[in-house]
Amino acid sequence: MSSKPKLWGSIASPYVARVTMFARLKHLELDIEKAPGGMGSDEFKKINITGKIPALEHNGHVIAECETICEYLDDAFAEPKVAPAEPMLRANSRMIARITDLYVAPHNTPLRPHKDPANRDQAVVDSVAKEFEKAFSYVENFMGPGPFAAGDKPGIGDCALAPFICLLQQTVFPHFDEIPDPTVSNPRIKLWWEAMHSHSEAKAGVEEYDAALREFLVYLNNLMAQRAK
Amino acid sequence: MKLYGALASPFVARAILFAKIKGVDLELAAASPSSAEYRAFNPIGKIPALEVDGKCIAESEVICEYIEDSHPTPSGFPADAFGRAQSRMVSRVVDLYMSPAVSKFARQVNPEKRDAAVVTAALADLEKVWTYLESFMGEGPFAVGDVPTLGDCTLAPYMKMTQILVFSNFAEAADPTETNPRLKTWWDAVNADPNFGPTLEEYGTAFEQMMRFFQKM
Repeated sequence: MSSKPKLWGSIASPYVARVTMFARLKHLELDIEKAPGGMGSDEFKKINITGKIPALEHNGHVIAECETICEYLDDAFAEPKVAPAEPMLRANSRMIARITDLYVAPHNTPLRPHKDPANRDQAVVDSVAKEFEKAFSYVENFMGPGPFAAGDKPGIGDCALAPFICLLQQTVFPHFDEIPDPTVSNPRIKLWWEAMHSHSEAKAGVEEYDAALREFLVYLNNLMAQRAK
Repeated sequence: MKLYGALASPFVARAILFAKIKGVDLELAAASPSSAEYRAFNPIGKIPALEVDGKCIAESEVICEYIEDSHPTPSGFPADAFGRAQSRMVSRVVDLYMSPAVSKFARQVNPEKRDAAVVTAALADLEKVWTYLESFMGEGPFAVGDVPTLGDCTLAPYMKMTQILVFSNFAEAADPTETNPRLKTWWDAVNADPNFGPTLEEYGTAFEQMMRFFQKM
């Protein structure tokens, strides 16, 4: 008997959102719980030794790392299968997930101290802008036939990239003219983003993460403002 | 299928080992990752890359998953879903935690130019990696069960590289294949395996040659 999987983490994390979006595509319900003691706490490390979120608990086993969790859900719950049948399309979808992790995700943090145009190191901004330009050219290059990351259904690559697009739309693109939103400027990525919004489960996943992130950023801003007083 | 890259890279070695355990023939082709010609094929400009019907599959982990999907038997993964997750977690731990920790040592090899604080931090990172691996590995003796799978293909070349780069140059770094019982069992199993043993030797030699080349530069 397979039990209902429990997902440790908070939906405002783009890595947790990858799993919740993937679970929607699988029509799978997850019990979502905040990490006890918080991310990195000794209490949570007893569940997942790395202390990171998300972690999945299922049938007495714990699985770490969002990408591994998505693959596990597709292996453990056979129907509906999210991975495309064609091996090349699977590779396209997985490459989009890898490119998100290796080339898109790392470039958000270095921009944080440079949001204020009056207090900005332009050299840093220009160099990060180049990295984003490269990353989105990789995304375009390795996406398969559309409109989704690989074919006519969303999958692991779509679930990896979409939360990061939301994150950048809320925290980067509006502040830096040097870094254009690829869902506007890049025809292939624009086509993909429109497809994500015309697919009911993908759209619900994107909207859920977008709202959770907005709420988290408001909370964070209030906290910073209080500390500054 | 043509695999671009050289055995001296632990990421190329991962794909070579995985193809070996599956009995899939790969043709190894030299690549100049920074050349315009190679970048037209793989814009990321890294090795390995697999050429399939003129198309490029990049990233060693994705290449292995593709080899598995396109040649399902014999499988390079455990049969059950959790075993597959364990094998993939071992791979992820190498890519996300072991690789950055080992990289920190690369610039500290020369004892005269060594920054003690960097070495201390990197040692602490490596110690954590061994606990992660132990936590995510299966019952063994291999990374998951009684045959090698993807996780072994990722970890074994990286462990070999760490022995050459770190354990033989930094007296304070203990080799977990000697001190950690689970990792010792695992290391004995991979080295006794007919696919792994000789390839790991070849990989070690290729990596040492590359390291000497860069040290001379």
